[in-house]
Amino acid sequence: MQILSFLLKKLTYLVILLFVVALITFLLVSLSPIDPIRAYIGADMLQVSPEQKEQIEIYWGLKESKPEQFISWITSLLKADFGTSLIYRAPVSEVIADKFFASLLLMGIAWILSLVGGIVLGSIAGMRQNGLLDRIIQLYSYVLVSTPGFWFGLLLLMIFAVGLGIFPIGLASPIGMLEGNVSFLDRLYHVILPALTLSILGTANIALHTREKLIEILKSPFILQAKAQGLKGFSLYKRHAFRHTILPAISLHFASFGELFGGAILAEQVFSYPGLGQAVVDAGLGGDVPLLLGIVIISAGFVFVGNFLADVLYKIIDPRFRKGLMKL
Amino acid sequence: MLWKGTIGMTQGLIIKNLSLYHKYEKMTLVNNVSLSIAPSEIVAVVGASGSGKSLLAHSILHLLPEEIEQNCEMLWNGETVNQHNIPQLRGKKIALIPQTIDALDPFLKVGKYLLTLMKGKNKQHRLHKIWSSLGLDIDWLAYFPFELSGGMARRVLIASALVQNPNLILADEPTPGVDADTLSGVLAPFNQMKQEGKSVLFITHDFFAALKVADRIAVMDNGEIIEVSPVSFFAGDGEKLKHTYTKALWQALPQNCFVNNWR
Repeated sequence: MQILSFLLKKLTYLVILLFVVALITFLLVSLSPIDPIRAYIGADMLQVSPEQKEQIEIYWGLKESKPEQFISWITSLLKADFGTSLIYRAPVSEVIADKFFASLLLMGIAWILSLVGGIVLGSIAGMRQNGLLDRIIQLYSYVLVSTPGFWFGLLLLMIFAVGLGIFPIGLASPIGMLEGNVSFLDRLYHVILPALTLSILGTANIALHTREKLIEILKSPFILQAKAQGLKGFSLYKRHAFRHTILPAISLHFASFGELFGGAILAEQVFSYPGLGQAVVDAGLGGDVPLLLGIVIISAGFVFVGNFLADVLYKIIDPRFRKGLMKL
Repeated sequence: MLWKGTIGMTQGLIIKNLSLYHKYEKMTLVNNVSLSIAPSEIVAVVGASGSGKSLLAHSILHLLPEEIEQNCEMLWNGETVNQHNIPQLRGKKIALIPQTIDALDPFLKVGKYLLTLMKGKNKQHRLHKIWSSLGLDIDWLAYFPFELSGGMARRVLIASALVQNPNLILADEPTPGVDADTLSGVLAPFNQMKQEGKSVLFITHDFFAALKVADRIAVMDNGEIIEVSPVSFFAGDGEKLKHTYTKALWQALPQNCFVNNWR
């Protein structure tokens, strides 16, 4: 019963969130100087007569008032119709699904690597507080946390792709190869550098949070008692600190889907990786309003899912939530 | 027999000139405290809150926070105890009964927690024995610390010190909120230990409980031990007691107040 009301509450949040996001993006786009007809026709604009232009405007409903336009857009959204992308000349939902898969591989690898790396580094630093290892890890983390992602991506590209030639310079598959012939290994090979860029930066953040939390946990009464029971070092960490420490890290990591997405946009630009990030930039520059709106809605949902998982995970790991002692 | 001095004692714990100094607040917390606990002996340390009693327990285990500087000479069964060998003694030889349930990992069921502390064979069996000797229900092993009531928590904390079968237990306020009727039940494991030749440092502000269980009582005030007297000295008007504070403590007990006023 409690779970049901929890889910219902979250679902209400989601609906409100998506509606507000849709409203704001619609307002922004309608205030922007993008002329959808010019974006649609492109260079052939001179060959289109004002009468033809007006016909397209009527066909697209651009003559209607803004609220009417918004309502008709929302109604089609509810029917899962995101419209047609102007630059890809395909349904927006198809474009997004296609790009999203490529991005998911990139973001998924980066997400897992940075989580594991961050927890390991943060735990070592926390257990050796103020020791040499801690100082090294802290220095590493602070430097990387303040490093811009695109710059770091370029650096990796220069060293590993251009200089050493170990990794490809860009794209998600070998140049000139047909879609059907690209193996999973090819994809993996191309995703390594951008994923590394994203994950090394993400690691620093998680490491700092994990270290902070671990130091806090190590001061708690149950750790003091575990020491009084003769535990120390790794077994102390494993038995009593680990679960308490990773909980905020994992939760934070799920909640940072937004940053992950933002980072992916930059990394995809640098590595010419054809993912959702690349698509959103193209849509913005090319005036592809349906695709832009579609991606915004989908990414809002994506970030919401991350936050939702963070919430749920907390409740699964902490027995105080499981036993209903603390409110969901 | 009750008056056990430090001279010539090789078994048990001897603390000589313990001083604790807070580095940041530039304050002496405990000053020149000496105390010994022999096998088969229960020594109570009584004093008001903030008199430094709990610090004493933590300093024996060398578990004080960094900002407190500790100076003392400590002997365990004739061997010097220091930062390097104390980890081998913690829990296994000298165990601590903590003050609150916060000392148990909130993510672990108490039974699982206690089992991980134990070594050797028949862990389950031994745990059940300790568990039921404390009057705890076997089902409660599956409880998380936050599910325990105050009285249950009290006994679980005692069990956590007993599972490793130590020779000395440092009991930090084991009897708060325990009424006179159930007091004997909570004190029983300490008496049991004494019979087995083990020792207990019973830290409390419950003077009544101290008198009931201890062989000797050390009175602490303002970071110093002002008097150590065998429990037999606490009789009559307290004429055998040296210090006025101790006498005042003794005379302030309800039954003595009554006697005094009645006279």
